[in-house]
Amino acid sequence: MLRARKDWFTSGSRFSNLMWRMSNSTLLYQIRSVEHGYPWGNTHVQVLRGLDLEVPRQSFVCLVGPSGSGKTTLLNLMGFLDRPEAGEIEFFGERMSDQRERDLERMRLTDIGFVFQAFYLLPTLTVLENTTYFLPRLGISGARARARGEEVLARIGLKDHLHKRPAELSGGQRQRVAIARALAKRPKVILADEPTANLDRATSETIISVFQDLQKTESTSFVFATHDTHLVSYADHVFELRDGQVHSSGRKA
Amino acid sequence: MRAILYLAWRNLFRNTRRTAASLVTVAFGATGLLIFQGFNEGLMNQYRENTIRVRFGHGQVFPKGYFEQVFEQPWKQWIEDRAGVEAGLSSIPQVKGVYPRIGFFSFVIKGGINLAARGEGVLPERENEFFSRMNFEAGRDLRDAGEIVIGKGLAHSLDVKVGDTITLLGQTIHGQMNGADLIVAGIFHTGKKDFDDGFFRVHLDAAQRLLDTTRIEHFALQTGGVEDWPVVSQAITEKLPQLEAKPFEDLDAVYYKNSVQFLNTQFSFIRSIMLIIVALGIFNTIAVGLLERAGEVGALRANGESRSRLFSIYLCESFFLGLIGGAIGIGAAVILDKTLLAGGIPMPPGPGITRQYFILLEIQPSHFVQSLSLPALTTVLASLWPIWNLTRKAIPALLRAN
Ligand SMILES: Nc1ncnc2c1ncn2[C@@H]1O[C@H](COP(=O)(O)OP(=O)(O)O)[C@@H](O)[C@H]1O
Ligand SMILES: [Mg+2]
Repeated sequence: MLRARKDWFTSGSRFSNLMWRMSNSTLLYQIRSVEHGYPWGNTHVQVLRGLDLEVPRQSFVCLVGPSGSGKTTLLNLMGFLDRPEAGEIEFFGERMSDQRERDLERMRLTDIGFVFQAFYLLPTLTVLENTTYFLPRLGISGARARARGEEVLARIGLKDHLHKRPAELSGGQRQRVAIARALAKRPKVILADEPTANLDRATSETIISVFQDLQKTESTSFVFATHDTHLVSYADHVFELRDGQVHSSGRKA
Repeated sequence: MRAILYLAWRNLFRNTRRTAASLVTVAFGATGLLIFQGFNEGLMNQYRENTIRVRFGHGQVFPKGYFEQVFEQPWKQWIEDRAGVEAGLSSIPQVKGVYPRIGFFSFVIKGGINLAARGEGVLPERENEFFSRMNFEAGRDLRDAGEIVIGKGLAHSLDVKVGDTITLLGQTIHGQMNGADLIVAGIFHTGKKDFDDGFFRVHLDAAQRLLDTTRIEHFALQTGGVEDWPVVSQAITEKLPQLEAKPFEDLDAVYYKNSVQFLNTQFSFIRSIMLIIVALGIFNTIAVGLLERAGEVGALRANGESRSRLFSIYLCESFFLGLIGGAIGIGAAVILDKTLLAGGIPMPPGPGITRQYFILLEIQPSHFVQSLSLPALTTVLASLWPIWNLTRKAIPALLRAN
């Protein structure tokens, strides 16, 4: 809690953090009757069909489901990368349909950390530079940005690799850099598409414990699309996507 | 801004082979532009020197108003005080040579053939050193008052060879018929048809005797260089107000100005082609290179990166490519100029020149500016569309691309 208080005064998004804590909504996401699909030749492939989903704050959520069931599609909508064709997504009680493109871009920067299976790091930058990439735009630059980057990388077990380039790292290490890049922004939620697909068991464990720590100390939420049963076993909530809807949801005791 | 420049700079090292390919493309364009521009300048200077040293000098001095008007009895306007004017002209520091001349019409007769032609009386003992570019197809330049040199076409029409005697027949300024027999010392070929077909040169003494006058029609002038002309012209206006000075490009307006215009047009055309080649090469390399960045652009934008910032970064990257490539190209051109091309570029005989000759590159400071800025600008322009195309894409599409 002490850490969180300190953050209000050091983080660039102090004001939005404050708003968040004052918000009445107990939900991180409230998703109602969302429809989404893609053009397919002359027709339209419907992927999400009236999907409803509630994600509480400070939760660790896994989206599971067979390949092609729409996990990535849903994650993209939750990350404001795309707007649903129908239905509404509320994020901390704010309706996405009320936001303009620029607001969504700002929310992606301050509130969301996105991690992908293919990492997508910048090959020409060092581990530290990749990690601090977004910080100047959050008002954190120079020594402060470097300090935060080093702190996040230390936490995730990469403090000996600060000045290496992604090409010099293993797949698991690269995935951790991608996670560090998202974490460094101190977003409200980390969205990750198959984040542990390239990690060995031991590395997965380390990262999951970092996630759990952040969940407690920073109230960060995590939403993962995954096939990894090991990761799923740590989730507070498990939602299964089938036929374009959330069919069964499991809750860890 | 510093972050944008830094990221753009780092991007140059992403794929060194591709960067090298782009740099070579731009450098090729810059080298080509600089060498071609230097060559063009050299060629123009050759044309200019020929124009000056075959016939006109750097400029000529006439009685005021003489050049524009046509007179029934032109000799009435001619300069009487030859020594005084000569001294006046010689006293101008930039004037290095003063050459009195008379231009006149006369019949040229050989056997039964009788042609009208334009003649010029000159002082060969004074002129021949400076007016050295006249190209003689046979024989040599004038030496004394018993000789004549004639154009190739005229010689052909009269059917004369070097060593033959021909007769000039004309009127003195008093209206009497007068004639002179002269030995053909040389036959010249300048490539200017009107000149080769109807022109001859004799000694000034022979011309004055034929016309029965001691007057001078005009003086050709040699200065320290074309850049001296404005000063010389100004000095003449002040010191010798009864005279009027004309630079060589006004005296040979049609031919010289057309040549310059032709060379300039040709240069602009070739420059456009070079820049188009650079643009196509860059467009292709950049477009292919950007394709493989789709995923990371998607990931950055998913985390809040803006389109316009990415656009700026990539455009800066292209600008760096253009500048660095241009600088390399200029370096290569300078090295080429100092080594392989140090002896000039061999040219086949052109108009007015029958020998092979060499054009030295004459690279001016403004050429460096152009050869750097044009390829750099072309690089930026050629990459605009691929960059815009990448950054405007929807994020999910970018993420699915690779
Ligand atoms: N941009 C797109 N264009 C066309 N079809 C798409 C697009 N994105 C996803 N799909 C299709 O939508 C369905 C769901 O995809 P996705 O959300 O990626 O599922 P998952 O992540 O669960 O594997 C799949 O059939 C996929 O082929
Ligand atoms: Mg997927």
